Amino acid sequence: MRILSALLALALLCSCAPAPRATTPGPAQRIISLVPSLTEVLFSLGAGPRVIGVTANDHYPPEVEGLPRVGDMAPDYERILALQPDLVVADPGMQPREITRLRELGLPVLSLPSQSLSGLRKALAELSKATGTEARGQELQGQLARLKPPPGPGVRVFVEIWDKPLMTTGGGTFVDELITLAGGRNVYADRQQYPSISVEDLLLRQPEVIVLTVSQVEEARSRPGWDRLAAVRSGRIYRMEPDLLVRPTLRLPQAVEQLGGFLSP
Amino acid sequence: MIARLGGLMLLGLLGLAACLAVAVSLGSISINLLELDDVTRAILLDIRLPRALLGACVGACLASAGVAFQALLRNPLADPYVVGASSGAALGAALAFLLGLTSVLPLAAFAGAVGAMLFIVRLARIGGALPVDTFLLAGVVVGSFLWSLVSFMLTLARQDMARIVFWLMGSLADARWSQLPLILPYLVIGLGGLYYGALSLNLLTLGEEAAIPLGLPAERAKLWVLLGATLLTAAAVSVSGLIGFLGLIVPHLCRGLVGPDHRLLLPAAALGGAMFLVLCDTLARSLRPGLELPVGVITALLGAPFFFWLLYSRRRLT
Repeated sequence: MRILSALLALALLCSCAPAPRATTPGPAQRIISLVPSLTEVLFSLGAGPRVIGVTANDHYPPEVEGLPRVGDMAPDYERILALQPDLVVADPGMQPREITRLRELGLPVLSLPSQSLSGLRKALAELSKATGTEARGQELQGQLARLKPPPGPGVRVFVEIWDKPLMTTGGGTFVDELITLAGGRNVYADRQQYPSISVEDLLLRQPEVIVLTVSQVEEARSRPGWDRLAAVRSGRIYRMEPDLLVRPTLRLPQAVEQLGGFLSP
Repeated sequence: MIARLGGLMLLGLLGLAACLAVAVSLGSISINLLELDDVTRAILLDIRLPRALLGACVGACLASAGVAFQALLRNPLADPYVVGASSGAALGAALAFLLGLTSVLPLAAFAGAVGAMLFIVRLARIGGALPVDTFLLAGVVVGSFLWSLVSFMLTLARQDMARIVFWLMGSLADARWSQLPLILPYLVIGLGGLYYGALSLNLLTLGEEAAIPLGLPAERAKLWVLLGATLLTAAAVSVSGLIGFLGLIVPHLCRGLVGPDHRLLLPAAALGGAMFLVLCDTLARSLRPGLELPVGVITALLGAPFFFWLLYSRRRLT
């Protein structure tokens, strides 16, 4: 105990206020991204070469493979400090406590709630400002603005986010927005967030198209009760790369096109 | 006795100082301790040191609470989580996540642990007495009930599920200077209180039938021990989640080293628990740089084989 309190007192004396880091006035030069979708946005803006650290869940674009990993859901604070970033990008929806801690350590954190279409637009604006890539940012905003839902009632679609338990997306999520843009109508739009659902309920809703993410088409077809789904019988069951479907990035036009392909008869 | 205690404390504190030194020098990046700059100094003093000290406090809390529960329940399988404190804390934490109140997470976990324990004591008291068997049974039943509530909440909290599960596994990743004042008072008061009652603990291990004729007001002593151990557990859980195994195994290891007298066993377990957790956490954060392992995995991975070896070598002796 005595040594603990002595050490504590000592440390409180000599540290506590972290050394103030020089804040560069210009565009960020050393960027750490703690959110895979925001890493993609940074690369789309052309700020990729200035990204010096990403999470273990980052796999796109391929250039990230060589970058230092600074944690997964939980950031590795000492690696982040050691890399001396002048900008750390995080999402308050996923990392509320971690953002507080990073700021306590004196790091400049840009907190971007980015898991929706409007969040993506806002993140794009903020990041292009912070990295001095406003022109490219404008161009990308234009690409996003051109995405408009096609006219008509929309094809009724079920998107499987997870298989065990069976999970889908409710209304108002990014995936739901993506479905609308691709000309579909989410059969679970009346639910919230990412609900888990029963096969019985799915049978009642009878979607016209089924889109899988983590499971394979053959496996899904053979599940009990699934042969009663009209979409399975008519062969309108497809699989999409999960990252492309759930991560709000500038690959959105590509995702809309692929999903739109599944939805058109 | 005094000489043995003095020697033990000296040895233990030296050992703990060495463990803290190791913990501060190792991490996910390598730092030359002789050439520190602003950044590396901040890593040592604002990330590693508070984390090592917090680990020491949590380890000391859990191990001494384990000693107290084993004595109180006269059960070698008892640990700080055996009677509902863990499920209560888990419920508090899950609620905090679900309601988006992550800033009061430590408080919610602490309240959950203490609340569950109070409820169990209330449930298990018959007349003025608290029979150990009834208490254990009530603890297990209430614990299962609370866990089922936690599981239910997990199914509601899809997008927070990973965060809650990660918290439940136990981690010191959140360590910072401001957390030490949260746990230190409970460590000092809880451990001090238990040590003050060390002789009662000695008598309680003999069983109430033996303790009462020897002059121990057993019921009151039990409640005080319970209160001390609960505060220690709740404080540890509130800052670190559920770190398993340590509170079960360190008391046994220390009993093997210093014997069953609680005047020696309690400080030995506190120091041993502190050292054990500091070392385990150092491994947890340096084994896979950039990707931290849950410290509870390390405590079990390291502790269990050590325990096997201890049992095996004892068996050969007899």
